[in-house]
Amino acid sequence: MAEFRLTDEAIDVPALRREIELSGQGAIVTFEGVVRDTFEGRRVVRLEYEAYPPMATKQMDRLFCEVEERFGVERLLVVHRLGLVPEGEAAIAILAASPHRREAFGAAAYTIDRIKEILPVWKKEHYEDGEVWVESSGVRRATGPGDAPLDGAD
Amino acid sequence: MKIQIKAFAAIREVLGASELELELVEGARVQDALEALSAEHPALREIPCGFGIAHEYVGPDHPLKDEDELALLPPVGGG
Repeated sequence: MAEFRLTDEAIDVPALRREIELSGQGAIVTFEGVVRDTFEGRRVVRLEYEAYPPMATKQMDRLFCEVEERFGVERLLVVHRLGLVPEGEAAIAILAASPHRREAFGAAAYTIDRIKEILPVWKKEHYEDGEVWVESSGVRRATGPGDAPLDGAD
Repeated sequence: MKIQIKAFAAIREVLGASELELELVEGARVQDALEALSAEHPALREIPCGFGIAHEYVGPDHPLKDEDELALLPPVGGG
């Protein structure tokens, strides 16, 4: 069973872990993607996510089918945060549970890799002197007149 | 025909709106919609753009029909 959620609130990982616990599971892998406060020495004062929710849900359903075929995990829970996310807090949490560790590790790693390719979610970094959209490839793209585009690998 | 455009992130900022209506000739494809918008907003040409219809990814050659909702999707950055 797999489930995807978008939320405006802080992600409560221990609560998610309690949700996916079932008897017979020998492995629960948890991945948290956490907000960093600097990029190449520039201080990120604010970080913000936006999504296209119905498309995100549909694309995640598709991704869950891929994961099911490849890894056969018993439970997979993905929660992505939207809106402003303070430094140090999780922007995403992925929990994968299975009888053995290999499937759970594989499912969690595959899920985050594919999310970075296909999930219609966008991230904006605000600096003291400008703002940029950050792409999964590491490209930073400014649209405002005062913002010089930045390129850099994540 | 008339379609609805939904724009996100950098593309929304360039268009100055998250939703708008676009009038196109019959037989138009996705790339024709982007071209029509780019003529008005040249900065759009600098942003790689993916497309979604009915919440699925489609290519630039995908045919449009009346009342389609076309999502303009800049490169994603979630996770």
